[in-house]
Amino acid sequence: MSVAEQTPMLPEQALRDPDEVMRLSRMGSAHPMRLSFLRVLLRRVEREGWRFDRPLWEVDDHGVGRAVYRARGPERTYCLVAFAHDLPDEMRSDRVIATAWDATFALVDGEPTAADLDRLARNVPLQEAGRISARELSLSRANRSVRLFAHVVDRLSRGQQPDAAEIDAVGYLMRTTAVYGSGKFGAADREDICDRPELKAPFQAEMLSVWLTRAFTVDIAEHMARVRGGAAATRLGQDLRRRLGVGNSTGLGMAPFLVRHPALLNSWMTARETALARVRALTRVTPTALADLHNALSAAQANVALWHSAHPAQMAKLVDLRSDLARIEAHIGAGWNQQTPLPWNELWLWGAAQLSEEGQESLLALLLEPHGAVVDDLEDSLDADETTAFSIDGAMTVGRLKTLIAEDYGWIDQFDLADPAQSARFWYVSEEKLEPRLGDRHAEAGHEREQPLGIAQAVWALLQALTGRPDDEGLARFLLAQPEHRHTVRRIQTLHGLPFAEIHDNLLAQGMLPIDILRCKLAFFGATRFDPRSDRWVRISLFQGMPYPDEVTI
Amino acid sequence: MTDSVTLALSELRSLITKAARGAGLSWGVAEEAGWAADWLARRGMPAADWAADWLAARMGGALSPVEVGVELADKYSEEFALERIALPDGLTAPAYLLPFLHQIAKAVGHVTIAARVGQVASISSAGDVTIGPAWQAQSDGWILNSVKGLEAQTRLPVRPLVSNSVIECLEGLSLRTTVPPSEISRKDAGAHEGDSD
Repeated sequence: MSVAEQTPMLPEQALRDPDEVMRLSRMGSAHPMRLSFLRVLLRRVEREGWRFDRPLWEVDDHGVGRAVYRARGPERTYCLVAFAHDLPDEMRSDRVIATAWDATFALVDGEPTAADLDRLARNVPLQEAGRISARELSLSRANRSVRLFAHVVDRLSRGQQPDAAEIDAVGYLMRTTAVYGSGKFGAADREDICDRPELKAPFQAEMLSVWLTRAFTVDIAEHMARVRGGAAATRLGQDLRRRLGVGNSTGLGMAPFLVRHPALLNSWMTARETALARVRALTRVTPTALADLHNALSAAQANVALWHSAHPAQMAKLVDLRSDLARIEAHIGAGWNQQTPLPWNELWLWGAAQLSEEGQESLLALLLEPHGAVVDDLEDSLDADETTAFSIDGAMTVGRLKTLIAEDYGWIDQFDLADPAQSARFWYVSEEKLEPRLGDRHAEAGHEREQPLGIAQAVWALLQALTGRPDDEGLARFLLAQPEHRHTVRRIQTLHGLPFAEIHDNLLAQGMLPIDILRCKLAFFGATRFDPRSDRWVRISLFQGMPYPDEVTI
Repeated sequence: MTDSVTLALSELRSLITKAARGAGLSWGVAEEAGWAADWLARRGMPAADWAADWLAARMGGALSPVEVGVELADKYSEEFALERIALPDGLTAPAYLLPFLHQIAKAVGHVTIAARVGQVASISSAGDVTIGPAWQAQSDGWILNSVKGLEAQTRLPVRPLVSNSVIECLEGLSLRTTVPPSEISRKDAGAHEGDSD
């Protein structure tokens, strides 16, 4: 099957409407797919033949020490420096308030010198209280799943393999609780590294860090098993090892990102929607593509069988998803109507009419899976230049600004923004921990220090302020009189022409679920087993079922 | 314990944005203060120290160079030429005007600031800055003009070294954008079950 044969024979189907795609409930049903960032990383390291090794392992019998994991690409080398700690159980917390972890990490740009390692040893274990440098690309930490880690070490130390059901029930030996990059705590600024091909797509340094961390989590468990069992100990079997990902515990801190980086969100969504449109425009269902679709469906069903959540909203979505995957299986098993000019479009339209949002978004991911030759080049368009968005066009007239609002923000009309329930929440940063939180405007103090994340209200307030101003008045004059609208005017001007930049929902509404924002972002990361523990924090798994670095090294 | 810290440029942007907001500027203007700090730091200028100075002055009721800068940029970034635009006197840390004058220079070609006693500064459309002999810590009788003439220069990023005392000052202002703890906020923040699964 050549690329030419796979290339669409008709123009791309139109992209889905942003009014459909950018609603929170649908964003909160997003699934990982071919263009997810960890998939982009794995394709690159395999395509370019990256080499991986572990040049340093200095860990003692208590599991304390340091290790270096090296990734050598065609032009540059990156190293994950890992510090293993002996953490008392009572100190183990995933919250940002924690001050100690089972392991801490930094991804180094190049190979660390002895002086670098000593410098990092003084700072990385402190996490937020330490400092890293422009030589480092990320800073992170992880805690053990105490139960599974103990089980795996115990079994391996006795020369036995762990119980597969135990592994599947948890899915990871360690979970990261924060992976900081992009200048945080002194790390390299994004703009200084984003012109490297391997770091152009979003979060590639962070994904590499987590992938190498996954190897460390297995190595440290096997090390502790050898300490305990000596010659009797064995290594983790390949199949069981694959079933382990890296867990991640994520809270509200991640939610404002998509609002603060609208141009980037537009790039992500446009790439994904373009990929869907290209597949819908294909005119043939090849045997290979059909087999790949069946394989992808089987993998999705296996994943959902192990995907559990105790959160009522997610439990209901999982019921929908299991039912919908069964319906998809039956529909494609019956061959659907492939004898039409656009058979993939036919399948998509069937799903759009028959499936829940959860099922539809899963179908989207399934449809992309057999079509790497048609969609994978879109990974080059996942980034965005966010450095040019500061100047305001002060010569623009009030009338033109109103036109832009009418064209791009018509979606705010669906909300009665004068209703107090539509502004019941406010986003703020806690003085105590400097982390984003969500407050109740009518019950809590502090809303005068609100973060500017209520886009629908801000645009509505701007429209009120523009009422009565002459259409030919320049914005320079308006903003001089009312600088409080400057943030909103800049946003409207810079996002014009970016149809997927804004979440078409009210982020201050009483019933808004922050986990919907988290789910969308995490799906783009490539996260699986989205498991909300409340409406504002979740656990997920990364790289589960994927190869390890030593499996892609030639 | 060192008495200064090397900040990433993104950290500097974030710190100045929050400090400016904490000092009472609107979010939109505060963001431009952060952007301007980045612009100055990339040219090796002490953006954090100067921000601490002008923010303190603004808290005392003075006009800030960032507010003047955004007004100028809004008004003149679409112009073809500037002719004898008078700047306010007494601006503290007037270098914070320069990033905004660069925005104007992109349209008009080259912006100069002159005073009665001589040349104060010039900014090319490429963002190159020349400081003249009449530069002072506060603006005094400064006049903007434009001249045609372009030159380009690639600039390497410079990481700002900022004293702890300046960081403390700016972080103090930043805290004015945060909300003190309450029982509700703690309760809603995240995990409460055991983390040792």
